[in-house]
Amino acid sequence: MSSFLRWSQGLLLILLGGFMLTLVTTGNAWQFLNPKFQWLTGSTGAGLMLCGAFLPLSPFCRPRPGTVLALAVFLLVAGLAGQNLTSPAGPAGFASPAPAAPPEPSRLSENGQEYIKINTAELYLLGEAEQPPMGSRYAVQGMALRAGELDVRGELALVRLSIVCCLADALAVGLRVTGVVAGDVPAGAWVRICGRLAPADPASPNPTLTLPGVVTTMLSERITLAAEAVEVIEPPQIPYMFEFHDREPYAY
Amino acid sequence: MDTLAVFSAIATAIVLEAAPFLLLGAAISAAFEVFLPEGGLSRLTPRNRTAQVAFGLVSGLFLPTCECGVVPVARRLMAKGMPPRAALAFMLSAPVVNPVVLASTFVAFRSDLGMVAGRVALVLLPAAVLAWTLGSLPLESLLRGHKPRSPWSLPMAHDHVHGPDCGCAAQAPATGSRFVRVIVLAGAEFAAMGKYLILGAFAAAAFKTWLPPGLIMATAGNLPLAVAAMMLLAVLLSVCSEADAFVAASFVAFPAAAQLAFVALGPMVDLKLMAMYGGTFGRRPALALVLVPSAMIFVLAVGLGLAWS
Repeated sequence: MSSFLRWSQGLLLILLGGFMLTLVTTGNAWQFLNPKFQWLTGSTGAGLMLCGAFLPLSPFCRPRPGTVLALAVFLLVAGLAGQNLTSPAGPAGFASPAPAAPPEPSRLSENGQEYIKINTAELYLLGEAEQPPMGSRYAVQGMALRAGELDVRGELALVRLSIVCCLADALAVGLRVTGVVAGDVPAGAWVRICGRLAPADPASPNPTLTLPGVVTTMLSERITLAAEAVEVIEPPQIPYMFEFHDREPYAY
Repeated sequence: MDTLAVFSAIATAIVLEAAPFLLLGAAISAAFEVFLPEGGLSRLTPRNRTAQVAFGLVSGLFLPTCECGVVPVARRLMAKGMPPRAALAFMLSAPVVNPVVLASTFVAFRSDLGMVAGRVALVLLPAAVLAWTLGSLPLESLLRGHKPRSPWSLPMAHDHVHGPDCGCAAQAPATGSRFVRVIVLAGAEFAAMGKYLILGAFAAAAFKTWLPPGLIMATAGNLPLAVAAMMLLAVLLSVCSEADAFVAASFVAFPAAAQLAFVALGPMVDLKLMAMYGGTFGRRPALALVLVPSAMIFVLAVGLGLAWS
């Protein structure tokens, strides 16, 4: 029994390490963690595989059945989470090294107007500045959240998930978009909005919006985006926000 | 995503995020066991009790670690002769009083030094009290399954099957070099403590997936309730100390004192830590490690909130 548990524990550590390494090498680690920690995940995976390979060699080590069971159950849960890895590999994986292609332009044109590309968190932070650049034109993409009180005012909430370390600390960050015809954008759809920054009306407070598994939703209290063009789009390859710049070119 | 998918993704994310730090903690612990001579640490730490606590409180500045990996390190430090006062103070304060977390707190709260100082104070006070009181207990009472060493026993050898403090792997004659012994011991310690990490991650993911968010938000207008709710949230969410300030700062409707309570309590008491405390310390010390910081931080945060309002 002891020998079985020892070998099982070693094997499970190898599998756990392999899972971590696979996430990194296939570029899928971003689905759980901020990609800046990929090197940490990968090296830990390699370290665990090493530990798992040597562990059964020590006959003095007698793992408890509960320890082996916990590792096994976790791997099952991780496998379940892994099944939901629907998106293709991200750009940061070993399998798809950072492309040497020229950087994307920081602005786009829509109906003859030029818009600065920015993500919802960067826009939120702009709104927190002492003097937000009201009237400036921005293009931003995110998930549309709707609520009864927003529909009445011809508004929607545009958010994206911001992740500092891992999915457990994900926050939905964004702002209200005004001038939208209710019904044009289905709730939960990904949209690209081109519009002008405008002060938020203090008489129209933000609604409380929730997303499953997300700690909280932050909508700017100071700014809104007055929509000039609304387009329903496919979700981006990596829907989360991991990077934030305080000046152009923004991370978008 | 359905709720089971959300649960599995969050649980996996918490374990994957914590695993590097747990393995690092296990590796440091294993290296201490294999390379450090008996009593080596006791010679490095001050003899004066107050100085021992102070030494432990600031050690995180030089050995940055997060709460996921600090428990096995602290246990090994005590087992290798570091005075429990210093080791406990280190275990409780290092996840916050280290350069990385102080910087992230500074950034998350928009350069508000008051929040950084408040966080440090709310962590150091309970850490010092616990280190001072629990540190006077004998190791047999403090640590679960700890047996005093005798000249006739192998170091760390005892009568139980493998546990977090078990040095048995290091004694394996077949393992050869010290390096291999470190690997074996680190792997065994990772697996033993990983069990508690996994349990905590599952519980945190379950709460995060199924807890109605409105429940916490409804308390924002009442200071004591807001502080208590944010403390409960810190325990249930089990967010890493490097990221928790960003989560706390996002609760803009809550008073600053409640946000402080969140960032002070989480690195000392959360679901994964509670499981690790239960597996590492005796029942009463483990209970004290949960209850004392909770009570002290609640009182201090409410006091701060009243003073600021």
